[in-house]
Amino acid sequence: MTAYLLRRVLVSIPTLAALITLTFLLLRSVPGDPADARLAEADTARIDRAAVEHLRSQFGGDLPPLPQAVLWAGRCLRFDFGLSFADGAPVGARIVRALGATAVLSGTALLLMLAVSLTAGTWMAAGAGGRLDRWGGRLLLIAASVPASLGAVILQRLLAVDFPLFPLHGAGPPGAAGEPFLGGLRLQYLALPALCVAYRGAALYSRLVRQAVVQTLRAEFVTAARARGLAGPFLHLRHTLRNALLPLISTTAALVPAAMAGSIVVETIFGWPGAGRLFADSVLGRDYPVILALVWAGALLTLTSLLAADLLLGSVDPRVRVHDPAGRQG
Amino acid sequence: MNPVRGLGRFPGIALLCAIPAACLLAPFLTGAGRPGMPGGLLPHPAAIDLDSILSPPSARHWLGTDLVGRDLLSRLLNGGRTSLTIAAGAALLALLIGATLGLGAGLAGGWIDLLVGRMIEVVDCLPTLLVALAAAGAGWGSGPVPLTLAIALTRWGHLARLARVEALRWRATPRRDSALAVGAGTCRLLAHHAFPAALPILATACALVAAEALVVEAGIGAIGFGVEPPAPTWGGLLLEARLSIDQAWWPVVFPGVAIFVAVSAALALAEPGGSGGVQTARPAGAAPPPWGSL
Repeated sequence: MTAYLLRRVLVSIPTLAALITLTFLLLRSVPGDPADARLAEADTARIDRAAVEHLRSQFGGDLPPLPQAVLWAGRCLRFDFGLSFADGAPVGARIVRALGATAVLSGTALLLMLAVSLTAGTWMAAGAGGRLDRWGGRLLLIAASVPASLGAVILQRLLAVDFPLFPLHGAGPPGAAGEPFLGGLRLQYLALPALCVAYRGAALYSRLVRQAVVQTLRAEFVTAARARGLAGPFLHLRHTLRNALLPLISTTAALVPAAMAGSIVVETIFGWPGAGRLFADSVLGRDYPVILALVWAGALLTLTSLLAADLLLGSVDPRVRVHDPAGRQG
Repeated sequence: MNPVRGLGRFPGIALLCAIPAACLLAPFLTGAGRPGMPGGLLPHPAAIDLDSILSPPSARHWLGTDLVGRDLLSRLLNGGRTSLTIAAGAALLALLIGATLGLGAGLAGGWIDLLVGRMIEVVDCLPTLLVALAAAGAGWGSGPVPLTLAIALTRWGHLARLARVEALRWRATPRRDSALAVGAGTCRLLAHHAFPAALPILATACALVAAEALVVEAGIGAIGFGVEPPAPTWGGLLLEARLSIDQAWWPVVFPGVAIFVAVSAALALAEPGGSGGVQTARPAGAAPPPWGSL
């Protein structure tokens, strides 16, 4: 088990390094760099030339692009993300703050997604082919057909302008200090963005849950349970859903990075100070160290959730065995 | 095999044809000349009319105007051309990449199969939005082309997987042997035998890519990283709607309806046994196609 875990972690290191290298080369494939742009402004805007030169030199000075990229990938693997082009502040501290805000938003959205889709999926499967199933399916198609950006604008208009129940924008009242960590979190600011991140995923996922439950309901052990007189929620929760969810565990793990990526649009529209908005802002300002750090964090998150899914699958389903090369099973 | 069966259930197809038709006709409906020039049924999409800023739908501007007095109907139709072109382009490009690699991997087997399998895994890990945004950030330009490329390059994995399975299935039939017996080469096998066999199921997946492309464009346009203004797109119209959100409803509602109808038509096309028209030989009880990723 430990050996398996160790190997998975070791294998992910070159993947991360390759991803950073590729992103770096992609970013540098365009002539000119923001440090140059800043130097060009230097005389008029009185930017400290030495400071800009220092920012640029963190990429390795006059080296060709490929060694620069490899050097930078090595630094990222050691959690050293350099200094931001925008203000010269360390990138690490900033992305930790932003990721915290995103974790609150995406975490809420994920819980919402799971709660809704497990309930709806099981419910629809229990009455498969019936009226509830058919209308539920249509409702899911409608929800899946509204992009999050459109849903966000509609919700803003309805629930923040026409019926001002929720704030239109931001993560707290203007002037109030603090990040939307749990301490200073204001739920009314969280509601609309979380709903927007969640609803489309919930629609897509409900359909998968429904399908998995329908297939499980055909299994013989369900018939056996029914013969023993089990019915209703107990049957569905204890016997069907648990087994139906096994093939969905990896899909569930993929929801995590998807929710983070989806938060780029939603955070920007609602002005939520998270990683998605930071990514959009740094793309706009071509702030390479921040872009690279966020790509790194996103990839790490993806790999971690995939690994977690595999481990979870192994521990939930006794038929799945995690092999290590020595032939032992863990 | 006829991919379009059961024309009794054609609302998906009808809608999918009606919207592009209206959008393709846009240049003939709108003033073809410079902004401000008369001519055509509708004003030019970039023609600014400062006398009617944010005017509600009226006889003069059927769907109203935006913050600088541009005609919303004209912008909606012209924007649809760009958005639908992006969607169609991304779907076709993803089909080209996915079918070639997937069928190739399935027919060839061996290390090619392994390599393609790896590539699919990597590609499936890349969120389209992230790549599209990174492409915009790297300065690939801000026309429709980089966006189309970003979508196609991150979305061909599902198609390749389907194509590979179809190729494996086709390889096991005697039709492969008979094609080989009459001397068909690799390319002919791919293009004339394996591809047509896999086309129905690939067409379904293409509709999903198109739907996903519309969603991505709507998202990335709404936060200002899409196709550069003043060229309208549906996503770009959402961005403009955000600017006047507390003053007007029409800039939200009309592009919203257009996006919704187009995406749901594409999703319905991909639905086996739904209201769509594309029927595929899918074993009973098989999982529905995923409606794209999130």
